[in-house]
Amino acid sequence: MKKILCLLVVFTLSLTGCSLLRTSGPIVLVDDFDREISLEEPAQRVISLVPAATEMLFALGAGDRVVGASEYCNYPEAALEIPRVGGFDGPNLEAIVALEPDLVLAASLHKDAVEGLEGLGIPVLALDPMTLEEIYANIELLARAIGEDKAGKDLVADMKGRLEAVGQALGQLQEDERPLVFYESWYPGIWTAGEDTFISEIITLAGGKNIAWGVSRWTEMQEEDVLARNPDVIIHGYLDFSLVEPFDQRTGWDVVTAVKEDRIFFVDPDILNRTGPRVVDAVEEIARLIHPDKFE
Amino acid sequence: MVLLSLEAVDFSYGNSFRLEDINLGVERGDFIGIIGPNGSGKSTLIKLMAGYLSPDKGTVCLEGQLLAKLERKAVARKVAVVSQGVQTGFAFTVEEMVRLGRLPHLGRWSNEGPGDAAAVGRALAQTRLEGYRSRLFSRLSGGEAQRVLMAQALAQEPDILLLDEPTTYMDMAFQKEMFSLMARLNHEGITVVAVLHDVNMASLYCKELVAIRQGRILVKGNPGEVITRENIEAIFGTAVAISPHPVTGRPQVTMLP
Amino acid sequence: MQRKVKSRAWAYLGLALLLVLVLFVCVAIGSVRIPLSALVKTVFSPLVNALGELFSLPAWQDFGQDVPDTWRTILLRLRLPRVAVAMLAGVALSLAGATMQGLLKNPLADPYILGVSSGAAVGAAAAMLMGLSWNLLGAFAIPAAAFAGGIGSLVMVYSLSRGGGRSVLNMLLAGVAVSTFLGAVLSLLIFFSGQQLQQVVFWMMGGFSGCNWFHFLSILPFLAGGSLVIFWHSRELDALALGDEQAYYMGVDVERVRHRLLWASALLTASAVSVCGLIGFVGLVVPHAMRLIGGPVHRNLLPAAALAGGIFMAVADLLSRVVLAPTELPVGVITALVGGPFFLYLLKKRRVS
Repeated sequence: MKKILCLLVVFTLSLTGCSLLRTSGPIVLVDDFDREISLEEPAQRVISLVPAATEMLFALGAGDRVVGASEYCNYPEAALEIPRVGGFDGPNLEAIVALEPDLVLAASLHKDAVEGLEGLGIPVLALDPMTLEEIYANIELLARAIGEDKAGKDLVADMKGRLEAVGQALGQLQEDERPLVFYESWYPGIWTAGEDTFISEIITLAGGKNIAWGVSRWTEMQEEDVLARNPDVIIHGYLDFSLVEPFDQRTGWDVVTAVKEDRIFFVDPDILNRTGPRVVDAVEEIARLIHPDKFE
Repeated sequence: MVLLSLEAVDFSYGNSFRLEDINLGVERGDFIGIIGPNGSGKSTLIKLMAGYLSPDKGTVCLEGQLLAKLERKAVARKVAVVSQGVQTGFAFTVEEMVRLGRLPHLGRWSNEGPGDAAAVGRALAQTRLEGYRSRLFSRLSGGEAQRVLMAQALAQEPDILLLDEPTTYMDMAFQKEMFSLMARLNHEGITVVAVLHDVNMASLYCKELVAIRQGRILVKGNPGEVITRENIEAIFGTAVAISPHPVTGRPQVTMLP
Repeated sequence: MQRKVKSRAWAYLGLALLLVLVLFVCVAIGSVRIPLSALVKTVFSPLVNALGELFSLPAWQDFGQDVPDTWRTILLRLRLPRVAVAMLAGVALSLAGATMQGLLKNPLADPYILGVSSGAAVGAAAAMLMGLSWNLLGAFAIPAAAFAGGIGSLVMVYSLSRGGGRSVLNMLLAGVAVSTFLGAVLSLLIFFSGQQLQQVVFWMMGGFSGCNWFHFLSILPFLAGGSLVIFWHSRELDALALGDEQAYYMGVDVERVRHRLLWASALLTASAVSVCGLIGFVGLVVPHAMRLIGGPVHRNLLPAAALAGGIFMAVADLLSRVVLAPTELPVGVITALVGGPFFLYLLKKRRVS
């Protein structure tokens, strides 16, 4: 339902956006939770509580407008210099207010803070992208918020172009040419990304097939299903390498093709799990990992 | 032969209450009633005799050996206590309660044998509880519950039975029955020491009385020696008249208006 | 009385058979559909193959060789140890719960009441934070740390409750204090942990995913030792349920027996928690239900609670595996969802009768 709403939002934005922005009136934005925000001017002092949004702003060439960021905003390197306004325990409202932002970017988990900030009259844009399309829409939404519509369109076009190139390198893949990929974010208690996540999309774009069919969102999947579905490739993209129990030491995993053939890869979780511009990097990297022959 | 002896025993609960210089020898076959006003230390004396409390000074011995040094189970096979106000949140039946009395006689892995069942049956019969076997202990009236605890103590087949006001919640008929039972058990060879609040019943049934006031033994001896006007007025601090019981001739106390 | 003993023997036999049946069913059913014939072949093939070898019967030697490796692995190396560990944990928690209820004279006590769970959580979280996961001590680091934490918390409760004769009330109060304190320590650890935060949270949700024979063997000795001590004192537990004083008069060395029973049940709880995290309700509901059905006498209650605990936990784990397959539900959700209403039903039925 939410997905449909988001798509609608994206659709209406793409229809109406241009005409609205050419006028000198306020910028009206609708975020991923269907909230309407209006800005008098393009935002100049932005606080980002979301690493992916921070990356988007830098990619849009507006890194200098980010005046506050979360503990987790670690990319690009310049982002490390930005004052921190909160970490695991949530955003620090006082620190945020002190920075006098004209826009705050939040995610679904910041619900309480969003209400607090709104009460203080600070506009908040909440982002909750589930698909690549929604990531594109987020980028264009942010671009509009900072009055850089063109940069947004260019960035999205660039991303699409790079994905196109990957697609061309892979060529037309038959179903049986797509290796089965198991994406793991946790073990034991096997947590994975379901078929409706952007991780699944990334795997598909990279020329693979996510084995988590029948699994929805980020959730715990059963070991015996992983073994029975027998992935050709395993990608661990969440924990530190040292924290993951080695696959060849796990009971029963020796029947899995990926383990037998040692096709187990660790992908930088910041690239793979963040719904920012670098998802394209993830697609490129995974495509190279699972189809090395196509990228020689 | 002295079965249970207290020598020069001092005991105090903090500063508020103390027993002082208690000397008492219980001989096999005794039927001792402990009388005294509320708060004089009667129940504490029972707990000391059973070893649950340890004296600050002095010694408590069972058959000449220090009570505290003896193994618990061995003591429980000789000394049983009927205490007051036992409550449990669990739904034990009367029979289960009484069978628990066999605990000191049973090895860790052994099952109850015919001897145990017989002891339980006897205890139930003696306390007129045969019809109560499957009744829940927690649903019984105060008097019934006290009979169950009595039966539990009897199932222990002790040499000495220590009772703490065993007739508190009983009506007259059951009070009399309880005293008859104690007398009968005593006649069968069990030594009985009971804290009693009813001086007249104590006088009728006990062979010997011990009177306590403010933590000290004031007087002990047979009922005729203990229940005199002077003694009773000194113990309870109220004016009384003493007259012989019309049937037995034992001294009986009458309150003066 | 004779008849009662007989019917009780039948009840135990019935529960034991049910346990075996549940073991079989829980291995047979799962997210991956494996035909029953494959299970039968997998179970009996070693025997039949050996016989075939012995009498050189080619058909017998080939028996069961057509079962795919993956199925065999799933049945014998994933499901069977998992179900076995779940059963052990169920037995341990149920026995520990029954013991705590008897010791504290409180039918609503559970194995976690004296803070063993929070201690174990702190231990596990500390191990995760220090990155003791796979490089240092192998798969055992977290269970071992949880175990140590659980035992450590009981030591704290025990020494804190020493004043005032270590009464039940003192111990409960010390348990609350220690639990609260350790809860704060846990929050602090979580606060300072980055990525390991989720590891702690997942661990606390509890579950049997990834349990193997290693886990089974590592908790078996504790379970055996702890249960032995508890069964050994079953009559004393009855007596203690009547209060310390009464128990003393019946020949129970109250301090010593309580000491032993506390350690035994802490051992059981800590060993269960160390392999499966925090799973609620089992240690509370199962012994209580068995007490409502069969009475409070521990010589009957303890074996029944042990068997029923094993059955309950295995079934709860089965449900967690199949309800949303291939997704796995947290088993604690199942135990609470099934245990809660069942508990209410028993209480209500009891009140009517």
